[in-house]
Amino acid sequence: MLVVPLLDKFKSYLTWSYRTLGFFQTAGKFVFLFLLMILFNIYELAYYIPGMEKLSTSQTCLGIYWFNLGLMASGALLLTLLISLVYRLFGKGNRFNLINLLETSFPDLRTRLSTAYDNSQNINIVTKKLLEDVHVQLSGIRIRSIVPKKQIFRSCLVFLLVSGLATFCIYEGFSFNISPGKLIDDFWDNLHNMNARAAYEDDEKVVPDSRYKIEAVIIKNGEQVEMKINPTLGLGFTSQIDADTEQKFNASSDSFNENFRYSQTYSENLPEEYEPLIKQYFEDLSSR
Amino acid sequence: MQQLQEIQLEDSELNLKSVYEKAPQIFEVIFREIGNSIVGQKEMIRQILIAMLCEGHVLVESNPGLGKTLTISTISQIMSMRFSRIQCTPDLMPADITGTDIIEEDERGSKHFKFKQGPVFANIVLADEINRASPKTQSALLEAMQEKQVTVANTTYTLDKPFFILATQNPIEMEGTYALPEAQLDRFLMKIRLDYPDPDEEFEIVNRYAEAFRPSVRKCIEKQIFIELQQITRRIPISNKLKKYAIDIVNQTRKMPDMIEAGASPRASIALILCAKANAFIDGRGYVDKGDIDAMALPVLRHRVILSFDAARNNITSDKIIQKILEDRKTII
Repeated sequence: MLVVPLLDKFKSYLTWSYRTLGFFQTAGKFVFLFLLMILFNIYELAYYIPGMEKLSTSQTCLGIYWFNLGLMASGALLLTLLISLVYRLFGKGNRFNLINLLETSFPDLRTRLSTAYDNSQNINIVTKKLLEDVHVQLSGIRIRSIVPKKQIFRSCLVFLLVSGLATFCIYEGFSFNISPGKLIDDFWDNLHNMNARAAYEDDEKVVPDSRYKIEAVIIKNGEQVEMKINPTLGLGFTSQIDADTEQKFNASSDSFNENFRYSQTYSENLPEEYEPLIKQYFEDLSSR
Repeated sequence: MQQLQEIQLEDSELNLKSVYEKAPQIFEVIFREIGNSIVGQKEMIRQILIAMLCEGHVLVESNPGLGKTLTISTISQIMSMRFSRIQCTPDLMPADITGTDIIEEDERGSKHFKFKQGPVFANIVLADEINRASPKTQSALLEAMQEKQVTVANTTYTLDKPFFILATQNPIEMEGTYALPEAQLDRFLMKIRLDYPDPDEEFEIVNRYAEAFRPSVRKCIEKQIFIELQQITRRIPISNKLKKYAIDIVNQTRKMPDMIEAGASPRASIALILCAKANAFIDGRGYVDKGDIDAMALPVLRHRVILSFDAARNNITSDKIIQKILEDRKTII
């Protein structure tokens, strides 16, 4: 009674403006996400999905460029819907609540409007006066004044601006030189190196480098040869070298004398028969 | 504005119209008249009036000499109501409160029983130091509070309206007392804590009462008008959002097992909303707002929560817990 028909009138007027605002806000989010995906070549991520590469090469109606754009548009749409859903679930979305809106916009109506609305069917001497007062106040409100014009304009402007940027990037083929695929590969490499380093520092067995699919195994007389260079076995970079070599080192370096074009070497007291075997192994390795 | 004429009120509502329109002036006169007699204690006076408007009863916890009796007797004089006082002692019997049948001889010499009303047959009853009465006597009084009637020798006597009991208890002397059980405490609409007046107020009290001056109290309103004010109080509307807020506050008292052993009952929710309505009415508002509920939460809830042993050991009071609940819910509405 009294207040309810007025509120219904307001609601029908404001619903469209809030729907327009909602449309521009959602569209703005979508275009912004799409633009980010174009700039950072996010389409590469889609190729981690099994079968996507096959689909991309087999389809003929779109070129590969437009196919990738389509992938990114779908991703942006999915993400936008997901964000909207999360906002709605957690009640953070600005759901249109006319009574809250009117009470916030017109502090004189604060609590009075919701009380009058909730008690509009419960007529007595007190609610009658409240309903009459609220009705008079509501009648004096210019509904146009609470249409979110600024918000609609701002959302529309953002939408147009981001759409323009996205269109420019699409037609000019502009994107940053950042490839998510490469970033992911680098990430895995770094992770592997870190693991290897950690294992070495913990004095654990170093995991064979599987990147080149070569296993350094040497068998001699039916026994596996220990390939690990144990620093404690060799002389290492020490002065414990024979007197002849030492003499050569102490002599003044002469750039014209090619015999002296070497520095300290790493010497190892390995058994002599190992040398040709190791040499052959590395020669085989380099010839593959 | 055409639609305004559509609202038609029933005759019972129209009868309340004049009182509703005059209500702000009536409250102003009541507070002014009480203020002529009582110095300070504005919060207590307001809360007593709220309880009376809600047809509830009040338990006052205070030290002696803070003006409880004077306040309540002044209110009864202003409203031309019957006032009685019961000084509770361990040997006080239920019949001393409710009244009893006595043998009476008429002019012809025949004898018959006649019911002699006890002090509970008044509009305003002051039950001083209620915790000194035995549990049996306390129960008789609390039954009268709840049912607003007294049954003696199979005859039920309805108490006059309005009926209001102000019970007091001393927070210090606990020896030889019978503490009110929690279930009976729940029947009191409010528990008011009184503090000592500040030095300025005490100076004024001394000026008034240590000399020959005796303040005169004027009868301001009829009993019937006060009954109509009570009827209007229940008609003050409240929004669903605020009802939920009040219920949420009461519910929170049931969700703190580390501090509260037993939370407030649904009777507390009713009491909180009703008191908020009366608070809004006294302020001259035809609707309840959040401030009314916040203002009433302490006096309505403080005696309805039973503290856990840990809370009591750590000197956590029910007031502190309720204030925390209110602070946590500050931004909800």
